Amino acid sequence: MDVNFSLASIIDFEKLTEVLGPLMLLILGVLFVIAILGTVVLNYHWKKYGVREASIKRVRGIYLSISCALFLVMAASVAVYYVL
Amino acid sequence: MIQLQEGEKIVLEARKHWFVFLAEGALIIVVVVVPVVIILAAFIFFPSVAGYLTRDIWVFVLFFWAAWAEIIWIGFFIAWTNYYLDVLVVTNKRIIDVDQISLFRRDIATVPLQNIQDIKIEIKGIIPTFFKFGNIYIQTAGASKEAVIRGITDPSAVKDVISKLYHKTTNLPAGGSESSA
Repeated sequence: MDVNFSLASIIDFEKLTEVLGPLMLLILGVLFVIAILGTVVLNYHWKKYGVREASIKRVRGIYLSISCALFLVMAASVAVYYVL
Repeated sequence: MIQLQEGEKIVLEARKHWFVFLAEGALIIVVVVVPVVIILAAFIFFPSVAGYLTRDIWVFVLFFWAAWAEIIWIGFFIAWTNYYLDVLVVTNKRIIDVDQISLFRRDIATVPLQNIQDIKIEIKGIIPTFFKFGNIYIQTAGASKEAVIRGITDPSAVKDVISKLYHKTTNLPAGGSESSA
């Protein structure tokens, strides 16, 4: 395999960098909607089909805290891209 | 929520063994780690790649990984919900097998205790034998197919409970066979 290829000849890094910001905003928006819908559906199932109340709180806590942390990372990435 | 009949009491709730879920969960963890491995592999096999990665691209890589992990995280909880809501409920009158196939597909099969003709358990393989999980086959009168509950925790104990309840309900000895490997 030829490893001495020029990556710049395949990918236009300047153009790529230009579209990263809008792409991140688009992904963030779509993912936010998916996360909201996912959370609503999961919560509905947990409540309706008999997951005990104490368990729901714990499970929901774990689910939401990790989700929030990941969204914070995404938001921070967008902020770094546009602000700094 | 399962609607119980008058005078009906839940005797046992049995779920699939955690190992069954672990097999799916492990796959999900692997999927989260894959992008990180790809990036590391790119650095090892194509060191010149580092020269092209500007701060903006690094930011995007971090963003993309978080987005990827979020999708997998939601998927993990959907898988867990499907696992947790998949339950076998044994009452003093019937057996209710709730099969949560996906979030929007839920099959509920009910077998009255007096209709049971045969119960068979199957523990097949090293891991199921070690962790005590397996399948239960319930043959019922009038049904063309037997009810199968797969990957249930401690199937022997579940079978014993069902047999005792069958005795109480019918005052007849419950037929049954058992196979394990």
